[in-house]
Amino acid sequence: MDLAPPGGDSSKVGHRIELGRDHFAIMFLEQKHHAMNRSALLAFLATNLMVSFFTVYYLVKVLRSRGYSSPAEPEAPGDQKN
Amino acid sequence: MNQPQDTWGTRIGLVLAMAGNAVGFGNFLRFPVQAMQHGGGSFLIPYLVCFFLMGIPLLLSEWAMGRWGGRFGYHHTPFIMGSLGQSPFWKYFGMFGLFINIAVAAYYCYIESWTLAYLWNSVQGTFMGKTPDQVARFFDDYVALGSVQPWFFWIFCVGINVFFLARGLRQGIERVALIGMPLLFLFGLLLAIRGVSLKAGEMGAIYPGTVGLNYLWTPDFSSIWRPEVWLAAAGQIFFTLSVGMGAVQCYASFVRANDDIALNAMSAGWMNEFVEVCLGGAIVIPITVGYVGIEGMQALLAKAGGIGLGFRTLPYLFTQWGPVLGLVGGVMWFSLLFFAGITSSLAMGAPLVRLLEESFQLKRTMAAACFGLIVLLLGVPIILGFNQGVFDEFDYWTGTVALVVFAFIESLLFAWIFGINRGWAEINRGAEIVVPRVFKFLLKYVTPLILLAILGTSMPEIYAKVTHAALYKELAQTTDAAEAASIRAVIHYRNLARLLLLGLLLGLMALLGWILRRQAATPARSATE
Repeated sequence: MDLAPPGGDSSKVGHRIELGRDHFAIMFLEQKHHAMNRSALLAFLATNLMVSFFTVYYLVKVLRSRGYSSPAEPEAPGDQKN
Repeated sequence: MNQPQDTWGTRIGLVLAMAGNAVGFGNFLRFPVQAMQHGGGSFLIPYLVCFFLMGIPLLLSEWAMGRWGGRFGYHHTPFIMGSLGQSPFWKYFGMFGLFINIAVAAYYCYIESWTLAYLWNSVQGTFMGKTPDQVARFFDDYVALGSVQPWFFWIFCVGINVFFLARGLRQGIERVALIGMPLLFLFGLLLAIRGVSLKAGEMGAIYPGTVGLNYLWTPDFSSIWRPEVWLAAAGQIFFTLSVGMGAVQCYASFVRANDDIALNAMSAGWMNEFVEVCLGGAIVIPITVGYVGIEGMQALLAKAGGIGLGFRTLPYLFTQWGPVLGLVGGVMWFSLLFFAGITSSLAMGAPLVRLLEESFQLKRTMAAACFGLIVLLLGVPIILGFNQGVFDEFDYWTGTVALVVFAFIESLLFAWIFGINRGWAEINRGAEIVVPRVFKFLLKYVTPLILLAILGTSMPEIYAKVTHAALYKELAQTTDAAEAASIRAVIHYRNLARLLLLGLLLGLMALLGWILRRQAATPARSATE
């Protein structure tokens, strides 16, 4: 099976291996979830992984960051001090 | 000015409350339907582009506006917006934000009460052994007020909202978010796993859950070039993030001037996206298709939309899981919807409670009770005229059109009146992440233009709504006298709903005028306000 992309550079072995891994991962998932076609599966996985990544990334940052120590105190109007 | 001592207890509490404000019924019932009808998997391209170009900039600006107003002790949009612009116009326009919150809460609490009623009936086993038609008829009878249940659960639901609003931020809103949001994630995750892993022949399913998932996610790339798909994506992003209402500003106004808002905004925004895309996309459609097939689901959708799937169809499908799992499924689904609802309705009530506390020195319990009373008064015609379109009329003008108008004007205020340089400095003050500079450009030019485009392209539809074009067309085509009378009654009810909304808006403007006159007449108060 030719794993190089159409018109792709066949000398980029690493790229071919990566593509091959993805290819077999998709085939595996297609067999496991035979009802899903490849494009639907790709759209589902790509979107869900991206959204999950950013959600976890920012949530972990919030949990690891400094909290709010004391209540917000109002300042006089026009007071610009930091 | 009376200074409320209330504040957020924890940072995660604030982020969860803000995410809870954004997460609502639409995440589970509207998003999958929108995605399915506008290109499936490829809908996510315009959807995510709109999230970056409009959603994140609006979130950042609303957080910044809220924290800016909070520095001066303002916790509601009339005075927060007044602190950004010098003209009194901005205070009156800010009151428009309060109007949206109250009007949306009036019908939102009613849907929220359905979740409690269905939760109760799931526990009671009401749907067990019933046919699909009988379960669907339960919903029809419910909204037709065939029993005392709708009134009871609605008043109970408003009472719960008043109770938590009266307890304040830390003991009320934050506590609900800290308990409700993790449970919502857990229930959503379990139901999503169940939906996706459903097998044909298992628990009465005729198709595996992946058939529905496949149908929902199969991309139709030709749809990307259709303007209405981009409009639908922009609309979905807009409504899912709960921007353009003033609730975000209210919550953010309790953040200290030098504490981070950028990371909080991103965290809350992405959390909402997770619930919508990952959980919302994996529950209703896969489960429904698993039992009724794609054609069956399309027929159900055409009949009653996403809300119909959630309340007319799913309760029956859960009964197919057996008495125990069916009960667990029903409880998880309606609890999840209830948590999604109450975290949003509390955010709608908070600005009015603050206004009443700060401007009339009312005790919080009394202010929360006033909110409850207004919601009840507005809710009666919504419930009585539900089948005559009063609910739809409220939803369209306040939950759809007014949000876009408010967001468009507030984006102009933030970027052009307050000034993008000051606004950008405010966003970055105390920021614990680097906000890409491209958002400064987006905030100034792109976001207002997108909002203007949404408004502009919606004008024909708005005009058609104003003139009841679809109803009059129906009226002209019918030959049945009874049907014609029914259409005329719907037009009459819809006009009454509009009058009610107009009355609410004018009443709130008059209230603000009175507050401003009182302040002007009291030198000591006007000095601080």
